[in-house]
Amino acid sequence: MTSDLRERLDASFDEGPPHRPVEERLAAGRRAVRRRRRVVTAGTAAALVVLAIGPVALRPTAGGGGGIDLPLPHPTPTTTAVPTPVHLLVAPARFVDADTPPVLYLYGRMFRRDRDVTVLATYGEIDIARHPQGGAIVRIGDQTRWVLVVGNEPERLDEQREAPYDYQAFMSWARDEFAVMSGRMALAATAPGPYAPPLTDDDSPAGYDGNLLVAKPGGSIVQRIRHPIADDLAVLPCHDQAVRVHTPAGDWFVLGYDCPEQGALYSERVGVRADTLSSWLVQVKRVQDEFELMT
Amino acid sequence: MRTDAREQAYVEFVTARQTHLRRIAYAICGDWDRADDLLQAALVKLYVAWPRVQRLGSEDAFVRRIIVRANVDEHRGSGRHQSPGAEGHGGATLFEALQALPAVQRKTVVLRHWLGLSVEETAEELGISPGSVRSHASRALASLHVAQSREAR
Repeated sequence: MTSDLRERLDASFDEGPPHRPVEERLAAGRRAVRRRRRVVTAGTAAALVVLAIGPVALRPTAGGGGGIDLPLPHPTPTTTAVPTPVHLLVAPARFVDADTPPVLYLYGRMFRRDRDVTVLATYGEIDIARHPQGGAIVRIGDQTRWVLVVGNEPERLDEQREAPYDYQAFMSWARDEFAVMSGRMALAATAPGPYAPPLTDDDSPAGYDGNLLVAKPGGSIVQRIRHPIADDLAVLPCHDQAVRVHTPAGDWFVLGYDCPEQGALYSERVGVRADTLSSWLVQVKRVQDEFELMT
Repeated sequence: MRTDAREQAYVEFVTARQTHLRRIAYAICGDWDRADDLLQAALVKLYVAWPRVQRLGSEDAFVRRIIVRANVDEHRGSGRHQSPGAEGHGGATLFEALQALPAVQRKTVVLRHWLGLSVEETAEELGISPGSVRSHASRALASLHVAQSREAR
């Protein structure tokens, strides 16, 4: 019956009229991205801004020996592969200590930590609400690093690693990292209040038991929503589910963001972004919709 | 992935899969224009999310789920269904019977009995329980059987 029905259903209608040109579909996709992007201009702190720029010519530093440099016009993108340093302002000394990453965000724009940091290229100066993000290739002494930064304060380093100067490879890496950020990194970066990196799966009050999110010992699930925000596919078609977990130390929302085998959970204390699981998921989805653009 | 490589991969996917995906949309909504709109909306979302979706190899599922979860009956009116274009073999009648089903039953039949998804996969796609899938499928198949039997008389 089933295979017969399948064949009869398949034969019950044809392939329909000709498709619209694939270029039209492509153009619609591009327009969708453009609608949600705004290119940043110097000194602008916008709600959602994505700007990718290439290596640019060195501009003379306008500032004096200490403190903050004067603002300069935003660098002009070029296509050169030569690692010509990019001018970024130097962060005020009060924001810098031994643990400060090579570049950081302050007041909605990217700064280099100090004059010993040479910025060779930047990628994606992105300002999402409270926690802007961006990446850069920098040189410190004889070491070159790829860096992604999140947030408005020096400790909000997202990730960095030693790497050669390779702009295309860096761009590819940065896009991959931003793709990861479209998950829990994005959620951590946009959580109200002081920034905290996303809780690891090990530290989460919930974890997968097969395809089911369950509370870890000492906690209990008090609410569960399956397929919580999949209507618009902000979450990929996987075993996504959301729970509220009660623990002696307080209540948490946990979202099984990706497939269990990929182990991506996002855990956030109740009250940080919302007080109910459903309203929290609405906020989560909003962030996901925005961050898809960075992938 | 660079933009040109990304777009090339996207175009290759669209070119290869748009006919199949639009047929799914048509089976669900019964109108080619609406089906094309549904597909277009889904492909725009796919373009935006392309790197993540492609990395997981879930392009088809991504588009299909958007289509399946669309509120297709929102724009349906009585007697507006177009000819399925396969008349003469009883196919048109079966298609009309499919279109006469409630939306969730219709979607269940499309996913479970046309595309061959498992009960669990169908439940996942529709966001309902496996038990509900079985229930909807049972009712839908009964309705289709009655419609086919009536036509045969």
